[in-house]
Amino acid sequence: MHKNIVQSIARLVVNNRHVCMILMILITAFFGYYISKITIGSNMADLLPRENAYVKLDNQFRQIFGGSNLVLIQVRVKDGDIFNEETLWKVRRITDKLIFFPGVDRYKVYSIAVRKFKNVVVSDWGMQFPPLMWPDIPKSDEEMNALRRKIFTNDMYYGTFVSFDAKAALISAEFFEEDINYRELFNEFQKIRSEEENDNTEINIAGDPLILGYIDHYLKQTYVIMGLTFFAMVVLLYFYTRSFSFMLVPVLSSLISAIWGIGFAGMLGFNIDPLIFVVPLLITARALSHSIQFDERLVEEMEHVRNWKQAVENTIVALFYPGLSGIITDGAGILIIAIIPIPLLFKLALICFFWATSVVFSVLFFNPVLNLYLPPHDVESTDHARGLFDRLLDGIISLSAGKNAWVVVMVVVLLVGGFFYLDKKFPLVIGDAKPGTPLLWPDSQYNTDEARINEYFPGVMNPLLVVVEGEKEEAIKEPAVLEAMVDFQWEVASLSEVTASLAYPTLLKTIQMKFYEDYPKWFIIPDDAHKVGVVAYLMSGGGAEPGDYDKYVDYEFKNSNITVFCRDRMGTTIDSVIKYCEDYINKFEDEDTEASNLLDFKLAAGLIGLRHAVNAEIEKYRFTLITLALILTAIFCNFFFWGVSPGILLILPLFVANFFVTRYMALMDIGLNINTLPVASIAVGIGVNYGIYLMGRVKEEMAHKKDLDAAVAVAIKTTGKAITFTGVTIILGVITWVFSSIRFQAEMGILLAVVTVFHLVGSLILLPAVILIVRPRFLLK
Amino acid sequence: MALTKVLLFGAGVFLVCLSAAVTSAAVCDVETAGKIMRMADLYGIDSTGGDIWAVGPKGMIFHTVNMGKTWDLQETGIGNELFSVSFADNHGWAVGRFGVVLHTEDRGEHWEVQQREIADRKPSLYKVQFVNATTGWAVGEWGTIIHTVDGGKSWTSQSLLTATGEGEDITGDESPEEEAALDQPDDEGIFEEEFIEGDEAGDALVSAGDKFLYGLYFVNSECGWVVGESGTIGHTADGGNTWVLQESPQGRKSLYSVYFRDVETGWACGIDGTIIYTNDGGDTWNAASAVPTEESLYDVVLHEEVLWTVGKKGIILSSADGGKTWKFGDNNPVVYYWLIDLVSAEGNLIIAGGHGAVLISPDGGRTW
Repeated sequence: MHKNIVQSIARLVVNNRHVCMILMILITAFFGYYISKITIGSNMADLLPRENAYVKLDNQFRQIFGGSNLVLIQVRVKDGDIFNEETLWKVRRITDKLIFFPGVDRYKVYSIAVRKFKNVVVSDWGMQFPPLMWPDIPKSDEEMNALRRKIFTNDMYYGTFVSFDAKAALISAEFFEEDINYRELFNEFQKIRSEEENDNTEINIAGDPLILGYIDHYLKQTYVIMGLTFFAMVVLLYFYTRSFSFMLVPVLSSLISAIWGIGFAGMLGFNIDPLIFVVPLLITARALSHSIQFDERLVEEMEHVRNWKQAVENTIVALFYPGLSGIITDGAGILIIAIIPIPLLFKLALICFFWATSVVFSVLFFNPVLNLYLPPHDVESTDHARGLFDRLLDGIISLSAGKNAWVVVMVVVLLVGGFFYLDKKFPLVIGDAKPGTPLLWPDSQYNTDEARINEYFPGVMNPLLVVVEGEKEEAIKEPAVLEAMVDFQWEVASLSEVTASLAYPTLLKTIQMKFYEDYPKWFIIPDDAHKVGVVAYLMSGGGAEPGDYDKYVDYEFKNSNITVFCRDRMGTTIDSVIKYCEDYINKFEDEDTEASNLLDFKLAAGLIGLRHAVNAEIEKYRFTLITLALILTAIFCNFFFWGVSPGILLILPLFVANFFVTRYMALMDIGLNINTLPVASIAVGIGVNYGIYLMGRVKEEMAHKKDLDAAVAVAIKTTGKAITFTGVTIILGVITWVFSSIRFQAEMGILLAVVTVFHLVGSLILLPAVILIVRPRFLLK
Repeated sequence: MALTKVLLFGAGVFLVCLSAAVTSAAVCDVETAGKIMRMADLYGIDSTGGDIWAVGPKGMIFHTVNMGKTWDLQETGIGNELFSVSFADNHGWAVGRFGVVLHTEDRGEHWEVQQREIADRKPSLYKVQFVNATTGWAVGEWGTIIHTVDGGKSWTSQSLLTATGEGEDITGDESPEEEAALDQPDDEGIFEEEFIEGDEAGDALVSAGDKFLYGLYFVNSECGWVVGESGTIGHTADGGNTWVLQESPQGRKSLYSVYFRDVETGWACGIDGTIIYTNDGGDTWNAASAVPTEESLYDVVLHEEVLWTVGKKGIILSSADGGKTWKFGDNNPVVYYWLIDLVSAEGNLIIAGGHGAVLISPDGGRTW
């Protein structure tokens, strides 16, 4: 529209190439400096939505109850059982080492070797609580058997820290997320493994902090893969163009954007999480594609005007609006992710938004300027290599011409209908869709370790803490309250997703039973609060230390918790368990019993509670995200193309793409979680670029010819070339990711490739077909 | 350990129920051994006519008609722990915490609450036995003995202390826990009090009426025995109206269960590997000479001329010489938790224990 302004800008740039170049170099240097300030690493604190009720609850009780940032170490013997000096010493050593690990909460290291795990001894003289296995390891057979007996008859340890068949012992530790150095931690754990493993002993280690340690461990590999991808794209570019300079320009442009983007992150003091490397790579691919579009057009212009400077100027004018709108819609699609109140996503949105929008400068200013420094392209030679593409595109044109257009649209409508139906029947999982960690391969050391631990100690990896808030101090001593907790335990244990639960009443009952010579029929809660108080008083004497029972109940006996161990942490599992608990709690509160007046059950802390919080936020904002993205994109397109329908037409392929991606992820058991969400939503939004360039070209052609079919054909043939080439480059580029040790990267790579194929089809076949059917006014003008 | 076949079962999916006042506790189908759960410590078991019932916490009664291949959960409507179950024909009774008594006359299709609790101290009932469909006894905390001759519609209270022997309870109102609290060593670990030997003798006689009674066995509606804490043994020949205290050769070792083959020959087992036997109706009791364990033994029963006893840590012992010497079974299944109740029925030996353990042997212990 405002062609004059654009023309003036173009002329300005072309006439002042030196100034522009210097400016670009200066700014790039500025950002380049900040690159040195960035840290590459994960930060668990970023993964949590601060204002979420569950997160707040967890923060409130974390100090006392613990339950998140867990790492479990399992010591397993192949022959015999753990009750021998060698193995018990291993447990002891590992426990001791863990207490001094960086970032560990040393009051939350648990195993049978810790001082705070007590045994109960009742004799004629009274009750004592000597530590289970501290400070000495049993030596004689007799002592060993005594230890064995003590553990087997104690519900708090048997099955939770020593497996039922006594072949495995568990050591657990909790970490302060702010203090974790993943690399250091990873190395320390691996050291323990190598030191303690032998022919008869297997060590398995699992836990969220460790997962991030593995990701960090593979960082070098990740760099190599990213590098390879970039290299592959460059090589492909060269093959396509057969021209060194033609290849150089897009590469340099995208590098400049990269420097600006990373520098920006450094300036803000953000860390870059290795798991989101995928996104910047996407943006780089976009930058490349914009540059390629530019250069393609440049060659074309050169063919016509035969003046390099003029050609450059013309190209700027021609691609200004499509390029600008494409880049801005990219940016908007990325920025929208910031509405989800999770710090990691916010940071990612901000950095990548800046990165993506900086492409404006690198493509519309740097690109032309650089070209001006280079010798003009030789048209003939470059034309040659594209023969293959030409033939391909001719075929594509026919797919959307005439009657075929209707066929295409019909097919798409059917597909969308199908996707919609499938979405209802097999909805996409929010959270993890696979057991263990979906970030790594099932046969990775981490996942096999976790599976092993789950074999012997099912669910201990995935604790859900249901907080029991008493109305007043000493509330937890009331038998009604304790019975209510036991009832809850029974209810929740009936779920197939729950493997076991642990709570204070069990501890009480164990001690109670001791008063009656361990007679099993005395494994009960005492009749009144006074008696409970007596037991509790006894438990705090006889050698106990402050904080011994923190895991179960606070000092004033006002708050307690029920730890529910879940079979795995897949999104569906978490959903079931939380929903069941919610229903139960609601019913409980409705009833006006003594118990419900004395206590409140509060969901939910611990690892599973936090996971649910994240999943819930993603679920909440999921549809808003895509809807906003589509609307914004449509608005921008309307603005740039000046009409109402361009927006709707252009987002049509995106709309279908979204369904497509969702189905693909559901099919491949990829859950929508904090790591996959940015990739999925950006991958969808980015497809609009192709459509914009195509549509822009159609409009341009219509200004000359007034024949829509011909205009579309030309558009496909020209911009289509760049589009196809970009698409193929991306697809071939991400192939290397399939070899990553990080499953997440491989999956995202394939996802990207698949979505790109879809975008190609969408912009080269669907969009033209729709244009030809609808014959929108803004094009016909 | 050859041929280990421990049947662990799980309780099924509960429908949400709960109200304490409401009578029926909702119950659903039991999921068969697909899900092994660490739930349902089983306290009592009984079998008749091919069915088996096992009782446990939260008023749960598990029932099977196919020797434990599948179980169902029967509705009881209460949430108390149930400690013992006894069947005679189609009639069955279950007793438990606070003195609750449940009754069924259709093999458990329906259970009714005959007695919710025993007033005042609300003592738990630990063992129940019915010799026929009308006559039965139950024993429990604080020396409780209750007796019925009308199938449980009404119960009368009996006591080890007959009208003449009522004495002061010198142990006072303190529970063992409180006693222990008083005896708690101070922080330096110096012990302040010890029990004095002399108290024991007086203790046994004077407060016999308050001793916890854990086991009972009646050979007919007249002649029976009860056993309990501190080595208490009581015998009645008139259906429980009067009792005579008998002496255990193991002194104050608690006895958990008693079994008599006839009015003369019987056995009792208890804490610390105690097994005693008598051939003269309990006038004299002798200690078994070779018991290969010092763990508590919780139940003893005679099955096809071989005596069996079960106890802590999955111990199963048998004796072929009338209880004088005992040994571990060669084919005992590997069980880590306690086994507490043992019943012999229609050629099967059936055991119940912690963590949902139910062991069944159809061939006298060779296979389980």
